[in-house]
Formats: sequence, C-alpha cells, structure tokens
Amino acid sequence: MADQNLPEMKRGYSRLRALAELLDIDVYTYLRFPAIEFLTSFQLLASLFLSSNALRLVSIGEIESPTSELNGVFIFFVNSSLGLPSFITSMLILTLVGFGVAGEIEKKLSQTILSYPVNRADVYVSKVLTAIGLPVLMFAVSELMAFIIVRPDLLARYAIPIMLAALATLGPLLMFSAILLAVAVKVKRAGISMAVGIAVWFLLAIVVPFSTFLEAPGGPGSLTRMAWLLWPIYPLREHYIAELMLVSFKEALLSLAGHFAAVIALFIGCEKYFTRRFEPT
Amino acid sequence: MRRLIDIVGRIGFISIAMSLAIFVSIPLKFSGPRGGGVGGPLNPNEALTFPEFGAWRLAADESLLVELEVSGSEAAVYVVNGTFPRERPFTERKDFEELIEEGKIQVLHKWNVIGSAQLEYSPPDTPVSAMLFIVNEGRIPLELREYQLSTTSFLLPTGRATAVSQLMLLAGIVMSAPRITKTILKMFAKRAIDR
Repeated sequence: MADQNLPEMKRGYSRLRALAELLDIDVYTYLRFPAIEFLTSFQLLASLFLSSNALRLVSIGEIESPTSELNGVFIFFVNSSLGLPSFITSMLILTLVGFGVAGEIEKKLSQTILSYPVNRADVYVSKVLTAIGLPVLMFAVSELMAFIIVRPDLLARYAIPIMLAALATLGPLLMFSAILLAVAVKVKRAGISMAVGIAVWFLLAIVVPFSTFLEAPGGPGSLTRMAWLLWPIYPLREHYIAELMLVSFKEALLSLAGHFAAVIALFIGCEKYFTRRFEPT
Repeated sequence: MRRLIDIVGRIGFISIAMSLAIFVSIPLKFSGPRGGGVGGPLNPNEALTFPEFGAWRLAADESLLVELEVSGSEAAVYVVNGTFPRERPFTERKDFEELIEEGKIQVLHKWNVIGSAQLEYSPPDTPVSAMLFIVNEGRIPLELREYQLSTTSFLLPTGRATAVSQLMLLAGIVMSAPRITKTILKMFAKRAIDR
C-alpha cells in the first residue's frame, strides 16, 4: 500500500512550488512592503542624478564625438560602480545577508526551515535570489531606466560597450555579496558577518586606487592588472577611453570573464558548503 | 494564483515607486558654470584671433548666462540651432559661416559686444538644441579678458521623463490592481465575518 502511494507523493512534490513558497517567505520576511519600493526609488534617483551629469553634460559640453560620448558613458558607470547607487545596493545586501541570513542562522530559525521537506539547494537559491538577486536586479533596472530617460540613443549606438560596462558594474556587487554570504554561512553570526562585510567593502573599494598608486610611474603593471580582476570596469574604461590604448579589447574582456568566473566559483562553493556541510546549530 | 497575484502586485508597486521617483525629479533644475567647449576651453586674457572661436552645445531646455569682457575688437556671440553634419567637422569660423549660408543652421540670437556685457538667453517653447559661439568680428585680435558661462537646465529631459513616468505609473496601477482588490475584498470579508 505504501509503495503504491509513493509515486503519488513524489508527483505531489513540486520543486518549483517549493521554491516559490520559500521565495514568498523570504521576500515577506526580508523585504516587507515599502522597503524595496523605497530603496528602488532612491537607487533610481541616484542613477538619474549621475546619468544627468555624466551622459548629458559631458557630451554636450563639447560637440558630440564618439570619444566624448563614450567618456560620458564610462564616467556614469564608474560613478555608479563606486557612488551612491552602488552604495545603497551594497548596504541593502549587507543588511539582508548580514542581518537576514546570518541572523536567521544565529536565531536557529534556519533549523526550522531546513526541517521542512525541501531541498537545501532550493533554500540556498531562495536566499540568494531574495537577499542578493533582487537588490542587484533593481540596481540594473535603475541604470537602464536612467539611460532610457537621459540618452536612449546611446543604447543603440554603443550597445556592446554599454552592455560590457553594465556587467562590469554589477560584477563587484555580486562578488561582495558572494564573499559576504560565504562569511555569513561559515561564521553563523550576524554581527561578525556585518563587520567582515564592511571590511570587505572597504578593501574592494581601495584595491584599485592603492595598486595604481604603488605602480604610478610605469603605468598599469601586474599588480594593477590583478586588481582589475576585482573591478573589470577599469580595464574596459582604459580600453575605450584611454588615448594610448594601453589595454586591448581582449585583455579587458579577459578581466571581465575572469571576474565573473571568480564570482560564479564563489557562489557555487558557497552552495556546495550549504548543501553538504552546513549545520544549522 | 494567489502567489502570482502577489508577485505581480509587488512588481506593480515597485513600478509605481519608480514612476514617482522620476516624477519628483522632473521639475528639478541645476545651474552652474560650464567649462569645455570646442576651440577652447577659452582661457581669459588670451587673444581670440580671427579663425578661433569657442563653441558650446546647449540642451533643449537649457537657459544661458554669459558674462564676458573683451578688448581689442568687437566680439559676436551667437546662439544657433540646427543639425551639424558629422561628416563635416568644423575647426574654423568659415566652416561655421558656410553652414549658416547653406541654411543648415539658423541663428537664434546674436549679440555684439564691446567692453563688458551680461547676456541671457532662454530657449523658446519649441525645443531646440542650440550652440553658443563667441567669435571675433573685427580685424584686430580680440582679447577675451574674462568670461563666465553658466547654464540652468532641468535635471532630466522633461518630455521623455514625463512620458516614461506616466507609462510606468499606468503599468504599475494595472499590475497592482488585482492585489489591491484582493486586499480590499479580504478586509470586507473579515469585517463581515467579525460581525
């Protein structure tokens, strides 16, 4: 009798439904009603201010030329990457992962969630999508909206540089999130995760200026090129904007690919640890 | 179905929030000095000889304030509108004059300046994408003793921003309507049960 029921039970469990249920719980817990709405508005406002300055004034300050327009595009992306929109997103991720995920583990709430008949990988995916995916998506949407409103013509004219620059802007945020998530899952303490997250954020922010400062006289050397793996927007900017063309397109693309390979490896490593070794006690 | 209504409703709320953010930014203006320019940036106290000129591109909704002091000969300050052919980059004043003669660009405003002057220009209601030129009208080298170019403009292109904001608001209302209806119905049902 039990054997006859087993296939029906198996059919009754839908992984997609379970994931949707987990997502529902996580979105409800982490992002209560006006939270994401408010933060998205702030992100968009910050992106609009930046884009207005970079895309509009830089390009109209002189007669439009491909260099001046691309210069504006890269000023916008570098400022987004280091400025207010990225800061808002980072702080949101820091709160959601540091307080949300690590706090859940610390308060033993994750024990309850993992006792449900759900796949651990689904729990992980749900946390990643809610605490990291949504803020990063909102950041990307804000940047896109800024382009659509301020200079939609640039999207068609410079599709490839803009797409690569957008990816290079999102990459460091994802890398920061992956490191933070790994720390949160490993140390299982909200306070320590937050402190480590802030330290990682500052380290990531200073790594390129510091390496450039160390190697200033001879141009970008091996140290700076290694630092570019953490911030691929810099080699892209060097390739498209620098007059001497010190960085080839292939090298800029390799930096971006290397960066994303590291990000994917971090997320996969974290998933493996969470599904195989993690003890929610 | 319940979950779908919730998710779509939430996206609708986000869309409304974004449209409000754009809507708030539409009337914002900023003003400040403008640098850059073609044939420049013009440095004060440098002679602006005959073929040289300074040119700045202005946005459609940008108002302009130029304060300048010249000596030597007379300066002409032009605000022009039109399409500048990309295949004909101009580096000299004669290229600029040819474009005016051919009717490719039209002169919106012209001032002649001797000594010091304060010039203001606000764009007409119809949007224009104007350019400002400072050129030497005389034969003696013109010395631009001082100049300050400041502009006031809207933060965003108003027309496009309004359109995008309205579109997002409409999409947001449509997407969140089922969720709002569900919440209201639930509230009434709860009251009815309580009674």
